Amino acid sequence: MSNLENTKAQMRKGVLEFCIMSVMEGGEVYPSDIISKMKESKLIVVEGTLYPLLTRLKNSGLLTYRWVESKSGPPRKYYTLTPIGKKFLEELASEWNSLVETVKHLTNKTTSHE
Amino acid sequence: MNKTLTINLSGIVFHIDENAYDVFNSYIDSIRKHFASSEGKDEIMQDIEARIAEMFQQRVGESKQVITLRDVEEVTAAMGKPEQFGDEEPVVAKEIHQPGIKRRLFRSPDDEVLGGVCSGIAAYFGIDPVWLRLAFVLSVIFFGTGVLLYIILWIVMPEAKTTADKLMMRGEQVTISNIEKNVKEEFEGLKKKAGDFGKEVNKKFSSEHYSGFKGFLHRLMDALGELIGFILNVIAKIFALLFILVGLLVFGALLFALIMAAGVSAIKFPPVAIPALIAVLLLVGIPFLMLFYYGFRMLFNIKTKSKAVNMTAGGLWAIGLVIGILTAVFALRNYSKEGNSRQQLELIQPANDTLIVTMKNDISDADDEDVHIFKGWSFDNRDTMATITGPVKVDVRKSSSDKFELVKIVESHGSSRRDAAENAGGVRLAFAQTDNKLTLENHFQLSKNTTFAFQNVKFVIGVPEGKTVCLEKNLGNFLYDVQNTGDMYDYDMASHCWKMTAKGLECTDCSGDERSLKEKETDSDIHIGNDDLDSVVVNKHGIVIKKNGKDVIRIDKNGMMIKADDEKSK
Repeated sequence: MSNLENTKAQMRKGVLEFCIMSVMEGGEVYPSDIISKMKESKLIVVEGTLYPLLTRLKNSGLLTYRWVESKSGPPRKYYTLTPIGKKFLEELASEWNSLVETVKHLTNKTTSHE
Repeated sequence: MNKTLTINLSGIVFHIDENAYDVFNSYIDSIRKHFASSEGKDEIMQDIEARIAEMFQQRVGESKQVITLRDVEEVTAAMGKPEQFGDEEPVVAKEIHQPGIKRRLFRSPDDEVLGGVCSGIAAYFGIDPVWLRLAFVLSVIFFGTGVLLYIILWIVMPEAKTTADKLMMRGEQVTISNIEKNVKEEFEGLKKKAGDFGKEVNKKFSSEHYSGFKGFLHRLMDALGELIGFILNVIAKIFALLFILVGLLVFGALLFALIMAAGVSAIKFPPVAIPALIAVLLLVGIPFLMLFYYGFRMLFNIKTKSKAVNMTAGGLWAIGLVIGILTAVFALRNYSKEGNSRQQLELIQPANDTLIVTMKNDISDADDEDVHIFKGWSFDNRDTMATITGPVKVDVRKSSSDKFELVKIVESHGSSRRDAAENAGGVRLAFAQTDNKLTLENHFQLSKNTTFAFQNVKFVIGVPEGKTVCLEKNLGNFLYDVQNTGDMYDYDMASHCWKMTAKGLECTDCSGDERSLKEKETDSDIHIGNDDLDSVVVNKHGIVIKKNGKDVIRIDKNGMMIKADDEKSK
């Protein structure tokens, strides 16, 4: 059972970056916006997961941010994709599509055999 | 009523309940530790703190100004515990050497066969622990030195208990190039500071900015401090290495010597011998072992507490002292009484009424291989029987009968007269007689159950009146206080024949030259007086004053002799 959970977690983790960057495709986002979307799909359970990931993506040059003054606290970081990030996301998307196709194909085949 | 604290989170001030603060503080600490080795850890911390500040801000207002424990619990639940972050890389990558963390020596509990000593050392030097383990196993064959070293290292090296320890265990590799890099960096820093000096001087002259110069002075002092610190560190390491070497060598040598001493098994020592060895090992060995211990700590920057080791060492040393004192007292008691055994030995009466006495001196040839314990005594352990070369004395006296006699007197020590006599009784020594020749031996043996108690042997040769004894030259060193009519020195009496008269022993073949200095006179002698008959000779052997060609006063290693006409006195 825990093995299943582990596999699920691994799968989620693999697509986490893809999902975060997809959310950003629509424009500038604030991290807690990302979280509220992710929480629905159980991709992220706690907010703490997000910050190291964002920092890493930013340091790899895929993201950039802008400081925005906030009335309800300290200044906020609003993230957007860089041109490299956009290209990266495109490639991820095409990879994702071909993966989905492959998985569909394979699972259909096995069920038809049975 | 609750006490509150004020905290600054991302530039915003919050009042927080004391109990809430404790929980919050340890939460922030746990996150910081979690990201301690991650790239961009500062930025991650800032982001997280900013988000928490925002969440706190939403929870306070006009009517509620203080962050409570409940707020903290809710916020930390939303942010999640470090273990829930489930982020990509595990914090401790086992085989990856962590850059930027100074490497320290630890025992590795994750990869241990016995105590993790080998894998700890291997991690420190970046090698495969298998080779070290093999080396230790092989060294066991060589007198078990490996076992001793392993135990010492086990005590000295601390175990890597925390994650931080394990990180340090695999910290930045210590290699020659690494050390070189560090030294270069130190000097680069100095150079930069020297460069700054130029700029500062310019600045000073251009703007007369005195505080700039002051600032420069501070930096110069810092740089000097760093340089001195670096040099001191190098010196300390050299000393540490010396401590380790001296400590280990002396301790090893001591252990080896004691094992060898204990191995002189054929000689039975009183029961104090074993505790005496232990006392010496503790009294002398512990300080050198501690020297090794502290050297090792200095060399590898080990900073764990050493109280337990210090206490143990101190305790063992004190035990050694007590054992030593008790042993000394016991030994003194054991040897305090003197006693002897007397034994009349049968002699074949020589046909021509002349007995020739000689000394068999063969043991002295083996001098080099003897285990010398102290002057005058040597122990030869090559045979199963303990052979002791001890003081053997020979005396010649008037026989109580009309026959040649030989009496063996063994003097010994013991805890009582009886014990001493018993120890004396265990002396075995051989003598041989062929016709008129008596051969004595200058060494004796102790039988297996006899305790060594400084036994010494005296032969008394009894010569009946009217009969002659000839003492061969090799007896010279063994004759002891033999009375004779010529008052000749013991050593000189050898190589002459003596007849027992009513007055005592009388020399039958002395030429009268015996009293002159044995050794030839040399050029460096100081002669006073040109006449050979009356002169004073001073040389390295002593002083001789001659009158009419005969010695009247003579001082040499045998003592002083004054002869006035026919009357002599010693």
